[in-house]
Amino acid sequence: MSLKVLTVDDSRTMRDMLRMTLSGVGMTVFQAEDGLHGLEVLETASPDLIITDINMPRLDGFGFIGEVRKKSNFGSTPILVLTTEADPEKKARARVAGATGWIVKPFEPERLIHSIHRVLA
Amino acid sequence: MDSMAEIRNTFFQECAEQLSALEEGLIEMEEGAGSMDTVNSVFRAVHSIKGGAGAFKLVALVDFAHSFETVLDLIRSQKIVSDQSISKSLLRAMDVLADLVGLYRDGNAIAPSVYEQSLAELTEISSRCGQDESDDDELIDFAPSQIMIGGFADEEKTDYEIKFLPHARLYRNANDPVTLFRELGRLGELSVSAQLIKACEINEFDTEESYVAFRALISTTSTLDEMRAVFDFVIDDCELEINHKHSRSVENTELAQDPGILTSASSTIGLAVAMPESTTGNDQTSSTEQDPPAAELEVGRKGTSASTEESRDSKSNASQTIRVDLDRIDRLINLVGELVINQAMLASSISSAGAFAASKVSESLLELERLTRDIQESVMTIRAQPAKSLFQRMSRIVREVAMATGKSVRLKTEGEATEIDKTVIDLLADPLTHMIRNAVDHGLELPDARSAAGKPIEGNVKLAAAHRSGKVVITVADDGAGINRLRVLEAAKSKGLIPVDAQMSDSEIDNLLFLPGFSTAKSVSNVSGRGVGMDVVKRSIQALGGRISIASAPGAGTTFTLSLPLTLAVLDGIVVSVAEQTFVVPLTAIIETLKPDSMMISELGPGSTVIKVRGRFIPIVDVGQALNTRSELADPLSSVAILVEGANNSQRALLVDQILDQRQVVIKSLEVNYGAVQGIAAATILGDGRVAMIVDVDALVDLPTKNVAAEKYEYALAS
Repeated sequence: MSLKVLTVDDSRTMRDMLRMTLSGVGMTVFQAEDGLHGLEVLETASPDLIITDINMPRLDGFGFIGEVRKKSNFGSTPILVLTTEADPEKKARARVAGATGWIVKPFEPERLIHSIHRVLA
Repeated sequence: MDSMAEIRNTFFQECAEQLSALEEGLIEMEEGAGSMDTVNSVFRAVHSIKGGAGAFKLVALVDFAHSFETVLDLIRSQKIVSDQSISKSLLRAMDVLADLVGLYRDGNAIAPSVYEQSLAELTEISSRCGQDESDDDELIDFAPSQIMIGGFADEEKTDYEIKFLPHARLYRNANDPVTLFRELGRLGELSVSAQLIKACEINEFDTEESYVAFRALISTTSTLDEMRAVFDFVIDDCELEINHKHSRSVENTELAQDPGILTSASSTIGLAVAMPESTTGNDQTSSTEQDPPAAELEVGRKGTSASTEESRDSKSNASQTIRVDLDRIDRLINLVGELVINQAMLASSISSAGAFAASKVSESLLELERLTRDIQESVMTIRAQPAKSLFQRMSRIVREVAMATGKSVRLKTEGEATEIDKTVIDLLADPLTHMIRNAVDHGLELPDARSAAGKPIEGNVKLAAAHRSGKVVITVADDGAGINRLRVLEAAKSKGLIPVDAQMSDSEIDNLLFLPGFSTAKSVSNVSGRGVGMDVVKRSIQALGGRISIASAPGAGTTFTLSLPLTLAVLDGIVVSVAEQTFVVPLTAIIETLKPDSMMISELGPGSTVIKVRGRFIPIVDVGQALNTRSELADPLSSVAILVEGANNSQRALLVDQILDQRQVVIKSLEVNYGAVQGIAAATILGDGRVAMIVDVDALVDLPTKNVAAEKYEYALAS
């Protein structure tokens, strides 16, 4: 089975870039355009990994991560935060919410894949 | 598969959407109507542009968006309170952001002058809060923070000792020491040992509790920072120590001698850490080779529950649209045009075959006619776009001109949802920009003059669009001083545009503004150029098959009204016959039609005649002769004169034999299907199947005729 990745980002550009990068190395990509949509897609996608943006309408990344962590079947799914915010305060909030790691935008495709492998046991 | 070029296109499309949302939000904020949601969505718009720009390394855009975002973030976190001056700076920043996007999209070079001023404003605002922009470079660092260079065999390896004690949260956030060490193992020769620090009953074992501390020894060419980077996700969820060890040989016995963070060394567990041969990512690719090709799935709304469907914001509505190539739509419109023609031909032949009005055939024909018209109208609406995009561009013009002229202006828009043909919208942008500039620059008074006249200091410019009797009507109105008719009259006389002793009505004076070369601007203003010629505006509107009119009330302002066709695919015209051929004259160019009598016609020389209409002499153009369908000049007395107005406001009387009909015709390009013919704008097919040429009124007016002499006579005789 190829790895299933759920990407949550309100920017179509970012979603497209992620899809190109991830499907290019054989991963199956699911997409959602904000946190609420991400939660809806979550059960269907049952991803091995989640990559999420922080700034999104309706439900932001912090809220989304918190909700994912509340679900027992996704308690140990790695969640990478993809964000332009390198602010330590934001990183700390993401960590408290349950993020596994973060990637600072703009991402280098190789770095992204590398980071993904870092969190997948 | 998405190619980078496609994603780049998507990015610029998305930028346009974000800029539109940004403008909406910023204007709400400026008007004091913005809620926290507005500030958030404004922030997101800039943030999103920055994110995408980073991916394409559009450095100036990223830098500028970053400074913009910093100010918005300060407003969002209520560290600064937005006031009028900040709002204005933000709106200017938005304009600059739009410029940068445009420059990058079109592949143009970015001169610092584009953004410097606005950037300085933004930096000044954020500095009020002690935010130092220059120190924030980390956010816009394109270089990967870790570069792996392998294979330098002669490079000196260094030994390090790493002590690592995970906290419980490290496990809770789905991090795993094994993956961390595997990662570390890529950097060099690694050995890891684990020690139990806490014991518990097996049934009390918590998978997310921390029971084990680790000690690793690594021999590597990597730097300390590179090793730390391995732990950067978990750095706040663990205790980590990395120390130099100078000796190359590391003995396991040292473990026990140096307990450090390994508090209770009750047992030592060897930990096998797999160290893949390959580097970054490649192992994953190869391991999935046997898998079926990865499907690209976009989980859309069908996969989501119905209850959340309605809560989706307007952003999602955008995904209910599809993008279609304009060429395909035009092909469809063209085919529907053919359908309309065929339907008319069918009706004509059935009627000439003598079918009764009440017969089944006639009934069906009526039904077909109705359907055809419905299809035609529906197809036309595909090309239609709301006026909003056009209007949004104008608010920027108002801001710029207001700033340059020191006036305080509010732009009010109405009927933004009014749909207009895409081509019309595109071609309307320039003339409308001129008009808006003129309205602010020349229409509105300076604040002092306004308050002296007992008006509010802030001037208003209203831009409205509406559908009215099959036309799009756009009005540009200002509440300025109105047209100074005395000055206009004097200017026109001094420029020799009208006779010195001409007597003119108010509306005639107002219309002098449309004369070429007319400008009352006392000095050349850098805003409106030469007080930009309304003649240019008028010509552009006429080229679109539209008309422009002006109304002004002293002290109360000036209103320009544009009346435009809903589509450029069909036009209203009158069908005329000339030397046994059929032509169509566009209705928009026609002022009136006349049946000349001998009193009206004056001959100025051989083949050079003028017609006197209400005291003005207008050169006659014989359409038949101009288009070479006959050699002899038609007898004006047995012809019909169609008074038309072309570019440059010059009028001509077109002589035709007979007016046959007035109807809507489908425009068929002659250039595409045959070739350009002087004096002919396009062709159409009439109901009886005959091809008729649509005359190019501008070209006929401009045709070098012997009547040039007559034109010079026009005003001389007018007195």
